Amino acid sequence: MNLRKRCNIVSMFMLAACLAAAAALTLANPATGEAASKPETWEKRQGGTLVIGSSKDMNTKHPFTRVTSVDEFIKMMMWEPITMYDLAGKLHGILAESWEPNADASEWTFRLRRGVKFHNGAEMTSADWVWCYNYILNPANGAYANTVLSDNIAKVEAVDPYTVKFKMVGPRALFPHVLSSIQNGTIVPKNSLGGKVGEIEGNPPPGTGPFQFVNWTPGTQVEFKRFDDYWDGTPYLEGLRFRIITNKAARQNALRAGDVNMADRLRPSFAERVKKGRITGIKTRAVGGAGFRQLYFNTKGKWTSDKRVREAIILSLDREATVEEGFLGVGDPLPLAVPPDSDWLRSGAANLPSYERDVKRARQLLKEAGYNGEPLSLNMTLGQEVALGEAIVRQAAEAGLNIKMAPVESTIFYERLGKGDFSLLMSSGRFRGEPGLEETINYVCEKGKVRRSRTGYCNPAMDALISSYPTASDRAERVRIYGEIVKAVFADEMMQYGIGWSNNRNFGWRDNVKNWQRGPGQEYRNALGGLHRTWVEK
Amino acid sequence: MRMIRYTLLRALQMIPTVLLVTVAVFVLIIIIPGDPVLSMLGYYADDVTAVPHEIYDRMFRELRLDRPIPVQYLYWLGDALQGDFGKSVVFRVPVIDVVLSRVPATLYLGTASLLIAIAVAVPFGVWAAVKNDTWVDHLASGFVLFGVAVPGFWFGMIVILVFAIYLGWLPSIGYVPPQEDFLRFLKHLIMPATVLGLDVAANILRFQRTDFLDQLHQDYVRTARAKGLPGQLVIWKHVLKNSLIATVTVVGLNTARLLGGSTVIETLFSYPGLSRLLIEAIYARDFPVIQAVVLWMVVLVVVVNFFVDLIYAYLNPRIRYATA
Repeated sequence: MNLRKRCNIVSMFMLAACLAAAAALTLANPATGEAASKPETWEKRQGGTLVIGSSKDMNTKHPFTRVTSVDEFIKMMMWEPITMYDLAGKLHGILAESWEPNADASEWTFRLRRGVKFHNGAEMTSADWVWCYNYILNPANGAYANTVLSDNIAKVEAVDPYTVKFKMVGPRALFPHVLSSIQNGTIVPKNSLGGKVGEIEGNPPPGTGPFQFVNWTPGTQVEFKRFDDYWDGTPYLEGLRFRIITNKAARQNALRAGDVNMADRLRPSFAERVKKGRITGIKTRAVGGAGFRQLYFNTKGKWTSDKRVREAIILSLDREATVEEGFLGVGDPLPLAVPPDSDWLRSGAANLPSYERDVKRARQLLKEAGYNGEPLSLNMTLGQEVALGEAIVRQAAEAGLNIKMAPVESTIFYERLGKGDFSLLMSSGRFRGEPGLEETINYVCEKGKVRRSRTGYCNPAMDALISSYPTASDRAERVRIYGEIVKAVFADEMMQYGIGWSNNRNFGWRDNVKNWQRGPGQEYRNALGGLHRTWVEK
Repeated sequence: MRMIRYTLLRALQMIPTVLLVTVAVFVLIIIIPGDPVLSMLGYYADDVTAVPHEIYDRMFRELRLDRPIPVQYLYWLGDALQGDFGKSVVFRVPVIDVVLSRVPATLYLGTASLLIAIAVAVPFGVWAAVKNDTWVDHLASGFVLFGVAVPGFWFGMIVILVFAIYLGWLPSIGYVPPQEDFLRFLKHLIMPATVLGLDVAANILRFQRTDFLDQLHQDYVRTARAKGLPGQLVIWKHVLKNSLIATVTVVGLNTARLLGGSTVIETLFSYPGLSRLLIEAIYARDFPVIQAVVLWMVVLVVVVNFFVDLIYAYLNPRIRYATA
């Protein structure tokens, strides 16, 4: 066999190997091949409607109004943000294949994912991106994201049909992170929104998500059907129905009776009974990082403006006991709203005093401040926080503090917050990957686009420190800045006191629901898995 | 003739009552804390500095909040009389559509539970009175005690546990319109209607038994029996009619309550009725929906009372003679 012949045979083998590998990859990677080829496993698994007992409803049919937790999780079935986190906390491109900043992150270039289709059949292009961001940036449209995005984007332009360039108002190293929520990062077809602010006539604008909108009966249910042309492969589930069941006991009953396949926010006691085998046919999972509770002090409040009073309140509290009592044994005491084993915690905790409970010292500080049992209001929402509030009130009373709990429903809570009508505030939050950004709302009082500080605190040095966080491209640098923020907020000024994580939010699903992955918070999906990869065993 | 005059008089008296109620509903909504403009724009109250002023002011004017309160009321009343209650702040669809989507479910539940209540309470009450101080009477007293003392949500939970979870006969939640699937409609209705109906039945039975017992000792009953009328005729024709006055009052009060919806039962069974809508609207500060639902409930009470008055007049002619 001559050399040329040998080379041809080798080439043929290589070509065959490449083709085989490509075919194998196509089958293995649903992102490219499953929708087209639909292997045998897909045929076996596909079909059925998954019914979810949802604690809350979708709020609007509009992609750019303010989202709340469950509202956003439901919307994520039909709309998708440009970027999304996986369970390990890594940011992935959803509607973008890649992105890169210029040297100082004052410009970002996004390459769009090719072959992404809207539910109306049109292909997503840069023209849709440009239209969406111009829509949000136009204040007349009342898009909620206007506040945040106009603080990031100066101009958006299409470079070609699959490339978009964002010119920023300054260095913005965390811009891809900012685009990871529905209100900031959803792309809908150009010209699909109009009319009055926040209003939609008829169906919501088409999205790119794995499920298409079918019907919404407010307060009752939201219905979706699968989108066959979904870019990440056709979902197995034929339909998806969110049944709004606001009562926890009713959700649990519905799950046990099989009226729903899955339910959110179940009681820890229910999860415990499932774990011990007293309830069968159901699986549950606690959602870590679902709700961190912390106290903020009104730095303009009559007594809480005095740092000695703030310190006395902190010294009167026992974090371990508060968490044990307030979260009914299913919480983790931690001073900061970050994952327990993270560099964020190491950086922050290094700058924190121990805050051991010291009632004697607390009494002494109160005496020095001239405080004599005058009432201090604790603004908080109704529900589970009441147990936490009771623990705090009782512990503080031992130091002579007269904290009056004011549990109210959320509208009044936010109204009081807006007016600064509180001494202490109990707030909850979840970890969204960049903890330094979360403090903007609490302490930055910069005039203009950014909201005023919730705590009433106003200090240009603090503004500069917190504002430097999103400009730092290097993660290690952001971790360091976060440590500085923690030092200033928690240790130097004593304006905030972390209580701990509540792990009392549980998902439950019936045994026949397969391959479901939650999101990093309480979402029904993450960047790599979720309901679009779930099937119901027949 | 007297009956017609009485009916017209009662109907005319309804108008000022309803008008007064509309004023009360309107004023109450103004008193409730919360900013409808922020809710409409999808912002929270602490976002007030983030809302562009131009947008806020435009919405403020569109909602006519820049007008004096009496003018706002007149606009609202004028629109309401034409069935226009505005748009839901939360759902951004006409309020009338949201309310009407819940009315059938509430009417079915209310009617079914009322029928169950009357079907159980009236014959059982009569039987208990006739068999006074026997095991039947004691059973009725036990039923009343159970119905009055046991909270509806607890009884509902037990019923769900038994019939939905352990036996798997009935669904634990939801509602299916009858035109979609009548059998499933009935299956979804049975448990909430029974729980609600038995609760109301206990109330009715208590009055029915006492009144019937009272009537049995009246002179006219003794006279009828002395005349040699059959016992069943005396009971069902003479005594029952006279014993119904108090029962009609209780049924009337409960009719308005049931047709307005039952918060606890609707929540427990995740039944999409008006009462649940009202609670959700209050939490979300959806003022137009609150106004419409409260108005519906109040008008219902007034209308039911009107019919109760008519039944009174039919049962006891002295009432219509005195009024007329």
